[in-house]
Amino acid sequence: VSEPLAFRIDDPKVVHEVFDDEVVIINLETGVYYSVACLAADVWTSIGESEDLIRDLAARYRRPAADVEAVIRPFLDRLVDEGLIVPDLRADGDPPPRAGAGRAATPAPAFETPVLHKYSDMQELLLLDPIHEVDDVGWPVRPNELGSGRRKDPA
Amino acid sequence: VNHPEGRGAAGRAVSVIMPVKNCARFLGAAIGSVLDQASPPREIVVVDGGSTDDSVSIARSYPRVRVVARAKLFLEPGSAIPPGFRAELLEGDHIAHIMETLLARRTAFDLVGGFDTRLSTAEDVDWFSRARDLGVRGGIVDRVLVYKRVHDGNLSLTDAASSRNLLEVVKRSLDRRRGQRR
Repeated sequence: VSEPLAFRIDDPKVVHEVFDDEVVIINLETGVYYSVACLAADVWTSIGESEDLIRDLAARYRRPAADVEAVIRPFLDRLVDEGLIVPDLRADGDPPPRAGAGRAATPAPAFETPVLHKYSDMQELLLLDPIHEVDDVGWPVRPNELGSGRRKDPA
Repeated sequence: VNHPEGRGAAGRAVSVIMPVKNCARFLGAAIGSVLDQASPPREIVVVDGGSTDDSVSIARSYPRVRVVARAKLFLEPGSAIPPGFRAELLEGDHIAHIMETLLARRTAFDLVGGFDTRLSTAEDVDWFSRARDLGVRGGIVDRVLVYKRVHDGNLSLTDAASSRNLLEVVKRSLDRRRGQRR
């Protein structure tokens, strides 16, 4: 197993919410949205919480780290390719949380290949309110608006 | 093109309804842009959602602008009409609702139902996704007809619930297509 894998969700352009056993993720820059469940949802909710995803997931699922990496690494690469997460390069950090701690008495959850369900059918709707860097002048600014004050109704 | 007073190209009376909250810095320009149209509307109704700045006094400085103060408004057939509105303004035969750049026919509301008034934002995304799931067909006019000002006070940018509402709307759409109710 190579160096520790840590990522963070690329907010604020990526928003997400846990609904029961499913996580819905929207990339607000592209209008593409995603659904993950099971192991994929577990990986997603561990992102940003874990400083070594493979180690923590291996502990939780009681699998050899090499096996976990073989399954998880392509999924993480896909999340990076979709612009949802970015590597977290914090050099110093707090002591890593032990995600698997305290669960020894419960059976290990099913370890199945994580799937990222991708949907692009609502792009036009989700991009209705575009993200812009905005300030108190607003956007767009057209030249003839600058400096023009209130005008009276000619009627 | 000159059309009869307050009537658009199709000869129908047009009223412009403008929801506002603390928009004093842009309200004059917005009202001015409406009055500058080739076919000015019969009236402009500014619905103020509790502004604490000069929005209301600015709106009232225009003779042709009517102000409905401290109201929350969802524009759709059958919705509660705040005092000061004439019901017939919202119950024309053809165009029932205008949201920024989107028009929907009244018959579409009959099929899809109204907006989900529990959503403080993204209620339009929800409505359109429901319409699409019911097979309502839409079209895109490939011309720029409206400029929308995006600023740091836009509700869709500042409402803390905005992202969560979008996610809820997407989840509902996923569940509808999976045959589950939500």
